[in-house]
Amino acid sequence: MLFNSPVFVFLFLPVAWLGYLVALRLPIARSGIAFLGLASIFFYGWWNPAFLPLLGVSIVFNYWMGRLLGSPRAAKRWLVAAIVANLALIAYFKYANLLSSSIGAVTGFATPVFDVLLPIGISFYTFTQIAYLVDTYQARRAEKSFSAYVLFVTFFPHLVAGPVLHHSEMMPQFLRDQRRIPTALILEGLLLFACGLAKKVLIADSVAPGVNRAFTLAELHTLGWADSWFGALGYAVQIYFDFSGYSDMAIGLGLMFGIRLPLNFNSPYQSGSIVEFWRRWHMTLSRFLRDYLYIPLGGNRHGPTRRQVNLMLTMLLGGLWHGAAWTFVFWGGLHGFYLQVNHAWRVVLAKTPALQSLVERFPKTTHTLSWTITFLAVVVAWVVFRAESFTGFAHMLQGMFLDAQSIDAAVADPQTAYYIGIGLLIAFLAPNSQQLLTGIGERLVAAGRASLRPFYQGAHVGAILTVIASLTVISLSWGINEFIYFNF
Amino acid sequence: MSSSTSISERQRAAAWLTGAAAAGLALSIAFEALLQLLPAGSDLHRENPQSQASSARLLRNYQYTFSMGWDLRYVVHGRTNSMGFISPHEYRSDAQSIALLGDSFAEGEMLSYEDSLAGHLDALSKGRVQTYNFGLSGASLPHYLGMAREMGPRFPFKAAVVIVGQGDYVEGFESKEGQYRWGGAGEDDVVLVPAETRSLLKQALRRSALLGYLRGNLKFVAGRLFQHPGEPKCEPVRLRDADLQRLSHYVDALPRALGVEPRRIVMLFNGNTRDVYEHVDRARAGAVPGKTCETRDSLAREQLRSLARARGIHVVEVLPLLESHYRVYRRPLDFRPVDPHWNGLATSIVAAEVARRLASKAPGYF
Repeated sequence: MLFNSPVFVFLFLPVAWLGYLVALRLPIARSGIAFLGLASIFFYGWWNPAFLPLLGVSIVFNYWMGRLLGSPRAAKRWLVAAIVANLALIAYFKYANLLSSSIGAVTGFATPVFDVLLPIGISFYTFTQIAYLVDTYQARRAEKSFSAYVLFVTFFPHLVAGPVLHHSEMMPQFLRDQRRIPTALILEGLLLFACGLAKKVLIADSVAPGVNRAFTLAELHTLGWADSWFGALGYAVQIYFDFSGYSDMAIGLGLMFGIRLPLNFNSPYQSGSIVEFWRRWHMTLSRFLRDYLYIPLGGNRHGPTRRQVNLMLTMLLGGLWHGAAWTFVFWGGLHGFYLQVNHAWRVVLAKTPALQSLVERFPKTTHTLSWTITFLAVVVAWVVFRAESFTGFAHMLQGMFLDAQSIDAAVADPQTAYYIGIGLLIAFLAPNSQQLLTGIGERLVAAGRASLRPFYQGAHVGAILTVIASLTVISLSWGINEFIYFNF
Repeated sequence: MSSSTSISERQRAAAWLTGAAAAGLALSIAFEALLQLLPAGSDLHRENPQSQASSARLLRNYQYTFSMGWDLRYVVHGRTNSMGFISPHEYRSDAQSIALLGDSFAEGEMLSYEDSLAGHLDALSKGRVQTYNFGLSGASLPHYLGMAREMGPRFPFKAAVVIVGQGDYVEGFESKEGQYRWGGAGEDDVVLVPAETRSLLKQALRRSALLGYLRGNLKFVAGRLFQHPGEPKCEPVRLRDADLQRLSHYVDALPRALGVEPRRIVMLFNGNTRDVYEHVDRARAGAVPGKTCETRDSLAREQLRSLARARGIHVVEVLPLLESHYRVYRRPLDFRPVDPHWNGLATSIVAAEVARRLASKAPGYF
């Protein structure tokens, strides 16, 4: 069930929300948690009920391991065993064929092809639970309530494509004694959901067909300069509006149920450096990689060389996390390289007073320059991220930078180019949805004379629902496109 | 005390609901007003029937605007003639003419007349012959025959072009108002389903730009709202004797109804233009072609092809024609993703092939 589908917007969401309100008022302990957990499992099972047993086994295993690791005398080997088990699960379902084909390519032997269907959201729920196990081991305190744990893993707004959650930031919210959801949160949630849906339906989906066409043709031959840049910039716009739109919708849904999910995007294309970009793009994954990979590897505690190695390793694995293809690993490596260059530049800058004073003298020019370099570096990396093969990547790069002779495929249609332009302008200049909408619920609730507030509140909800319904019908006219990150 | 609280709660709820409904209504009115100013959807509708025996006609002598997608792209303006068909020309019985029969691909509401198949054929004939477009969106094989019987006696056609699309055989069994369907046992070969007379309310609603936008631009159909996407089942099918007889009769009846020799008829077998892109763009080494599933309709069209060839009717496969052009130029041939119909380029390619086929059999026109 996709967030932009009519079945979700017009059926699942109203039923789940009203059911949750009723469950909160029942005189049964944690009835709200139980209802929301069941609703989330139903939501997940809608895709393919065959994936439910795997999710169930994963949850029961990790809950049980968490109880074991929460004991003061828990041995570290149990933590290692639990992490290995989780990684083995994801390795089989996601990476078995990549591993097999790579071994075959290197050795020349005929290697088996596994008939494995990737369970949706496996990367997200596995990593969420690995983080939980590590936190539990470090704090020596496990989650006692099984129903709350189930909800923590399966809570439908984040289940299939994040944000990647920390146990510590979610459980207090699930377990607090909540009898009703504040109207301000509901309004803010609805607005964020509408904003995310608009990003997805009006920008990302409008750009997607042209981008798909460019990358499909790039697999066959080199594209011309305009078509290549059209594809590359188009994908930069598509993935940002698609994924940040999804994240807005997830956060908005959480708020409708009285739960605040962590921020996942903070205008990443406005970043002045790659280091800054990673603090603003898919923030919860960056946090996860930092806390559970980079720092355990030693972080920056063992000198600059080891730090560079740790950084590169983290980015390579971060790339691999996105999908079972070497292009994703290359993408991670490319960003690892960018980060190394960024850190090296900082060292050079700190050691060169003349350069430093130049930067201070022309702050706007240097910022524009660094922003341009950062964005171009990100766009080039997106090309390999999106390409179906290294051949496609090479064809696109050739077209972008060498202006190769190519078939004029007329990919760059003016309509799509217009949306790419609009998308880039918004991404570069506009405040993001969180900046615009955080706290707006409270302002709307307090608006108007006290006696007319119920009318106003109803009017706000009615207006937002009309917009959401309209956007859903527009989404239906596209054929309801999946979110890009649902594939990871 | 509790009673007054509950009344107050009830009042709050009523005020809340009133606010929600008022905002929804106000926004809908605002959308309607905005869309009235914009070239939204299609304001071209069927007219009320003149009699029980009338087949479907569009509003006569009507200037319409058409656009596609939520963002109103590909805006075109067109007009219908006094017979209720999309054409800037009046159809005259004393003129040299070609009949064009088919569904929306022939009708060409989404194209300017110059870009439509009829327009391209007119241009290729340099005024020596005019194409009379009798295309109707949603029509199928029996309707083409019904229209041929209606128009054949009125116009001395020199040639005819019939577009046969996917679903054209099986959709012929559906009862669509104002269209001919296949006749059942004891009925004629094709039977006219009486056209619907719209009530005043329906006529008023048809003027709504918002509803036009929903139907025309967003292709909204309430019944498809909660459809679960799924792979169609591929089950073995075969044509029954009744199907074979019906098709055999069809290829005999159509030339007779039009009053045109079979060799002066071109039957265009159309498919899904997406397959053209798939074949060419995905034709990489090792790419596995998608599974094709035979249906009653595909078998019927296959049978129609061979029967038409046997009778001397020109059979043109549209997809290979488009594919050979796309393989060289890689230019879009339709309005995907918002609409799968042929664009002006595709119609020009098809028209050139029709003209080539007819040039030898109907000399002096192309």
